[in-house]
Amino acid sequence: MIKLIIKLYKIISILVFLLLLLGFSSKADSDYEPNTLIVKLKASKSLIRSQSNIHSYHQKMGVKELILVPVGKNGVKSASFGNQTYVLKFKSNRDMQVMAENYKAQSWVVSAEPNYYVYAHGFNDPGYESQDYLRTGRIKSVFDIPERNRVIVAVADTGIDYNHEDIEANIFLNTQEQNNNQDDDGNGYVDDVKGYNFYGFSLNSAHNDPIDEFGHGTHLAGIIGAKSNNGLGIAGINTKAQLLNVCFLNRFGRGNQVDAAAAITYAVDMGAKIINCSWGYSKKTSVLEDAINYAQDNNVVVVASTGNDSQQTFNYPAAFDSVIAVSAITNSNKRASYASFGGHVDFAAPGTDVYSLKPGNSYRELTGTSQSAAVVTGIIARVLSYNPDLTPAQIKALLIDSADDVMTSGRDIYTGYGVINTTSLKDNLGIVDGAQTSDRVPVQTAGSVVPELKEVLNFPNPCRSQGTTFGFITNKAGEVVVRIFDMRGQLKKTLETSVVDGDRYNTVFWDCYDDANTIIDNGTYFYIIEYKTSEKTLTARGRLSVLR
Amino acid sequence: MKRVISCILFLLVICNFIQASYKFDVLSVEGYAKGYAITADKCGLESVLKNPAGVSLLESVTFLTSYSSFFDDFYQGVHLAAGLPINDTMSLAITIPARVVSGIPETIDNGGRAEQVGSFQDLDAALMFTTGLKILPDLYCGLNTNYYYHKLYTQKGTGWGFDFGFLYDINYDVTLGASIQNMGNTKIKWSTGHQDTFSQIVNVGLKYKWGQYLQFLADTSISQGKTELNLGAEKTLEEILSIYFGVQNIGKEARIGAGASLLLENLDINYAYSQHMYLGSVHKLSLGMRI
Repeated sequence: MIKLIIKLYKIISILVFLLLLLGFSSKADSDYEPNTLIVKLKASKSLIRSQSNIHSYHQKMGVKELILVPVGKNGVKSASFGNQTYVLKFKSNRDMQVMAENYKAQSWVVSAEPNYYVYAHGFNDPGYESQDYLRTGRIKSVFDIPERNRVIVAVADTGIDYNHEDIEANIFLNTQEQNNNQDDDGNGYVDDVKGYNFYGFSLNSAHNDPIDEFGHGTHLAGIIGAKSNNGLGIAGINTKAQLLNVCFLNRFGRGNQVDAAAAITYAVDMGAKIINCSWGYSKKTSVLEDAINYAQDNNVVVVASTGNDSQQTFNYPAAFDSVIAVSAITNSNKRASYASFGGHVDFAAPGTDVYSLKPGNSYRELTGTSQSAAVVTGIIARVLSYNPDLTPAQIKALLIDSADDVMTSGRDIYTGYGVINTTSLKDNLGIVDGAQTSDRVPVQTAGSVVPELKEVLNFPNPCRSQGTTFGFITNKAGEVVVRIFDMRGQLKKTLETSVVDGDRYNTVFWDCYDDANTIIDNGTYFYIIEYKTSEKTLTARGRLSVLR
Repeated sequence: MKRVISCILFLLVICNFIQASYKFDVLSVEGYAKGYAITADKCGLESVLKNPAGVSLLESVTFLTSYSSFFDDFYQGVHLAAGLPINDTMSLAITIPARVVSGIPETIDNGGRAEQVGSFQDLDAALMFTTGLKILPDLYCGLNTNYYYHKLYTQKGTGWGFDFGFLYDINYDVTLGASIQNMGNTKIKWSTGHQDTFSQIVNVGLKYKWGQYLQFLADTSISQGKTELNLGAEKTLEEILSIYFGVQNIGKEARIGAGASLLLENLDINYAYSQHMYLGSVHKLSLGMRI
């Protein structure tokens, strides 16, 4: 009996081991076709004579099939042997890198390479479908500008949620600094590992945590440089940007010009090539002007939004000469009514319903010239990634040459030189179309996604006077209806929202008032979340309690 | 007679529909199947839900217990009741309804996302004393004195409430009923300092016997100027078997119910069923015993 148990134990152990092995091997991330090698043979008459030796070698290596590749003049299938390229298919799992080295060592081989994948130039970021400003219009070809270098882009704003799933990897880390309560790099700021928070600098209360408590800076950072092709969230314009988190606005989006100047100066000193300033005021101080001049003197591009008061307003820093001032257009390329305007406007960019990041691994649409400025910042970051030697003046000249008029011909007070056309920009940068293999993940189409509704919970629960929020994950565009019932099954409230494509956490807030606008009593209620997509309708239900 | 019916119908027509708040519908099975159109029904211990005057019609010591499963067993309710005729004109009853919702997730806001940190339960119960009086051979009245107890999460709510009602046999076939629930509004005071108020409900109903084996019920519940209209019917198939049908809150959120009763010598077995459009099925079962 004991022997039998030991035997069974051994068998199970072996099976578990094999399963683990299989699991690990299947997770191996290869960027080429398995068991396939491309081998180009030398053109030599003597080779014809050694055909049998070559075949023997193939057999020894485990080749089960040879496919002639029709490449170029000599690629056509012919009776002649040599100077031809073959795809070798192997019988079993082999390391193609090793096999390539083995074949390269043969005298009759010109080249031996794994068959590397190529991918369509697209994104698997589920929120990309919601990024109308990138998918349509004049900047949709921005991704044709290759990213060659990582550019430091400072977001001087309300901070960035540096833990956000879609941006964490692109946050600039100060490797010269450690979290040890010391100023390791001697820049005057202690433990500025992930940027710095200059809010309160003028009151000597700045600190080293630039987390975003307002959401504005995170949204802009996402537009500029959210991580792309990571299967999460959205695609940033410069997907390899290093986002320098320079916070100086508080959780209400307010700051002062001294703190702003300190933030800009810090960004320049930390090596930022671009500073995004989606804020401003109609009055200026010399300290702010000095900081902008400091940036200009150090060849740093400063991009600023013009404001959202629908009037002719000269907000600073946008109205400084050296700053690229950005106004907004709608998604239908019309002047945005909310945008401030004036003779200082340089460009206009999409700013309406721009979909980007929200702190807490969430996503949302925001509207304003802030978003437009971030779009232009992202484009410039992409340009500098391609050619880091360009000066701010050269960049501005490039952008002017690449801008399309959307209103009157020439510069106007609403859209400046117009809207940057990234196809023209690409041409002006001398980029020739060609295959690009940087985006390595296949395009995921929404149509292939099976709708899912999961992680349905309201929070907080029990809820008190502040109301409660229904949270749930969906993965496809659709309509969501939340119905709340009392214990008798009487409908108390109906809430509706839309969700977009991609795995995302959605929230719907309820203020605990019923449809008759009466605050509901303490007690337990039921809710049903109905998620309707074009394919099917899913429901989930839960219990919530109100306790005041 | 015609005048009374006309008045009731007029009331039904002029008022808007409401959804009246019976705090403890767990205690009614037969009434649930009849769409709660039971203001004028003589349904013994179940009467305490809408019209305590029905208790005055008890003829023997009666016990009643029920079990309810709501919305595909999302929560459950039970009740125990006992009735005692003191003499020919007076009856007393005590009723304890309770319902419990378990496993309610306790969640917190974790960076804009729900995070479950535990679970809790909601227990809602009451203690109801009913006095029924036969004032005249065809006029009955009753009074509920209710003590409410509600425990939710770590907090408690308590309060007192009173219901009053009467029944009047207009003739052998027609009975008129009227009641006031939550007289002067019922207030539940919570340990948090918060106070919930259950508004006063006025119920007016009519029962009409059509022959020996069929009766129709209609009532309306008026609260804060709005009205709920309920209709019900009872058909006795055999001496020991009755079936019920009812529609509660006629309008866009009507609830249709059905049920049956098996009447044995000293034992009543009642079953009621209803299907909610969104929340699923409700099953109720009660057992009554007369001594």
